[in-house]
Amino acid sequence: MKLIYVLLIGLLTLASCAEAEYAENGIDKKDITGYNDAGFYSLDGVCIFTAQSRNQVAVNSERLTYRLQNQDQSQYVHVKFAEKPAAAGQKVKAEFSFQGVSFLKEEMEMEVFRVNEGKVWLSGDNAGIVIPAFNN
Amino acid sequence: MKKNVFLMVVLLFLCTIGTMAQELGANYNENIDYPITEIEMLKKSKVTWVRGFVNIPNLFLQNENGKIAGVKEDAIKSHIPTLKFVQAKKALGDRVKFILSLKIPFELYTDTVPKMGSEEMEHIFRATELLLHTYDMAKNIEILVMGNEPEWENVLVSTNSKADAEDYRAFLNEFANRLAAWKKANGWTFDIYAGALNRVSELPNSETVPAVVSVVNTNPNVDGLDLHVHALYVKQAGDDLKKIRDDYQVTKKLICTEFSMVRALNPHVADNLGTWGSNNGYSSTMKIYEYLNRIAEKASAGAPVSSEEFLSLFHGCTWYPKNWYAAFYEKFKQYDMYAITGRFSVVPGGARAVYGADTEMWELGGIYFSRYLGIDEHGSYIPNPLLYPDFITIQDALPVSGFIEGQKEIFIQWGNGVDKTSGLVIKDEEGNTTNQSLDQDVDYSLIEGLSPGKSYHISLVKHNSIVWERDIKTKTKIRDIPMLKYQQAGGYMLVQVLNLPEDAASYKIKLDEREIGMVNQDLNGQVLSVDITYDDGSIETLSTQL
Repeated sequence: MKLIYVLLIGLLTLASCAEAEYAENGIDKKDITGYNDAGFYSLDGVCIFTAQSRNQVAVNSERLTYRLQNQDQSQYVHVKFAEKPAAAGQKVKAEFSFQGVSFLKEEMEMEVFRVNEGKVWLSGDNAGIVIPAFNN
Repeated sequence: MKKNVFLMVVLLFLCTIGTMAQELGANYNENIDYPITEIEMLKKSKVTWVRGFVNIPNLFLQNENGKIAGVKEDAIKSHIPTLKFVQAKKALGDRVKFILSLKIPFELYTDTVPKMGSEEMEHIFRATELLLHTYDMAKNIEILVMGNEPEWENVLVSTNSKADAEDYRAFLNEFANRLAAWKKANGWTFDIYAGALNRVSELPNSETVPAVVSVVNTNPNVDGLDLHVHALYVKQAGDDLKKIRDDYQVTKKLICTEFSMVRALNPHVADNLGTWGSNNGYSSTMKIYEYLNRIAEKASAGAPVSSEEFLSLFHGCTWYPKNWYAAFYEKFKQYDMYAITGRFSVVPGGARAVYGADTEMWELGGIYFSRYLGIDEHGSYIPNPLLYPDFITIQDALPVSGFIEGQKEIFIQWGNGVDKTSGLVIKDEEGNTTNQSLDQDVDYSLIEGLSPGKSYHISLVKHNSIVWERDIKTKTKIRDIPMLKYQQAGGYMLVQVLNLPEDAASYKIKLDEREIGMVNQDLNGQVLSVDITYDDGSIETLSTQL
């Protein structure tokens, strides 16, 4: 639990837009591993929804859910994984519910591209996710 | 001395009357972009209502040859005052409720009120619906009022002929029914009122007044009636309210979104200062309006006159109705007004407006003067000495300073007028009651264990007498996805966990990992979080940076 909490604090303090970070790294926009901030991305290169200051982050390691929302939930993305994304190359089914975000589908199969320093990078269709690793 | 005695009498009267305490608010009329500029003053004044209106035809409808020809959709969607009104609501939090009046002066149109089913009527509804969606206006108001002084504004300017009252009744009924349908479709929860009716006791032959009242009394989608009391005599406030409650038999909620004695003041705007003038460094032949212009200049130059000087002028005039504000409030209480919003600070015509012999003295009916007496060390306007003492006396005597309704709890901040030996009685929609005593060590109560979207009748009772009571509806749960909400609640920081699913068994709120309660003196920390334990034993940690 403390590890998740520490990770959340770390993620919440990241305020830079992924777009700027992406441009500096010069990485292909369609590669989710080019992003560092936890959040949800459309892989056409537009920074959609990240764990910026004053957004709310919710993690349930037992239920394998992760959620990002703004202060009044006019925007949120909630994802539930069928199994714990833990290793690069792993394919996992993900169910999404969302508000104010248009690029996601309700169900997607996602592939894990990287697991590193307590974070997991996944990508599928036109969407990419960077989330904290589930602590269970 | 005499004024102090009078105020004490008023205070004692308010404390012993033992009925519901009506809450005071701030009216901004058409200046709905002003509240956001006066947030600190609004917080300091402790008002719990803010009201403004939008002129639907002038702003949002196309007028061609005296007919409503269409809707200015882009103008609605980009209406910055709407955005600022909503921003003010968010800045003030749930403790302050907002009222939006829709001013629809049918006098602008050849046929005044459109017929049922007409394209013109549909344009009005379309404009309103779009406005309610814009910047989430509908989600940020507590009350929507259909109309503004239709007795005057439905009269055709060119011929002075009156609009058909039956057409207006039909329009209001359809309007209310459309609003109810939109509320249901969108999950909006604001109450629907009709009005505002002005000077009803002076209009025995009006056809519009009974038409509006009949809509209020018979349409189940209408929750109440808005009245304006612009009186010529102090007793007219009571006359208007008696007319509505006793003669028209209105039992639903009443609000008063405008009230004044401007009609008593206006005939004297060009009176000479007389002896008072010569005794206070002005010419005896200086007019009152010239004095007002002069002191506005002085204040603008950083050398305002004193409140004492200003007060002495008007209290020295035999025609000035001293303490009319307190007298009006007494009647508002007697006839159980739900919300009362008086003019707060806005200068009609703007800060550069110059008084003339024909100027209406609306400004003297504001709680604060934005241009006559300067500003204090905190940057707030110096209050109007003609009204502010009555206003503060009333505020200080209120048993309830404000309340915030959550989904499963209601936070009530007690005012100076509360007797903490009283007890709370909470009655739900099924008639079940629970009792709760007041904590002697704090000046608030937190009622917990409630259900979302339900109406509770809350009474403060002492020795079997009700000293305050109100129907409060808990917020509706919009979705089963938890959300943290924190806001200023009077002198406290209130933390609420909203949208808890049914399988949420318990939760713990934390500040930087230290467990805290819902009500806190402050939130001095970095991360606010809540650990929600579900029935399956899993824990969701929801957090936000402060």
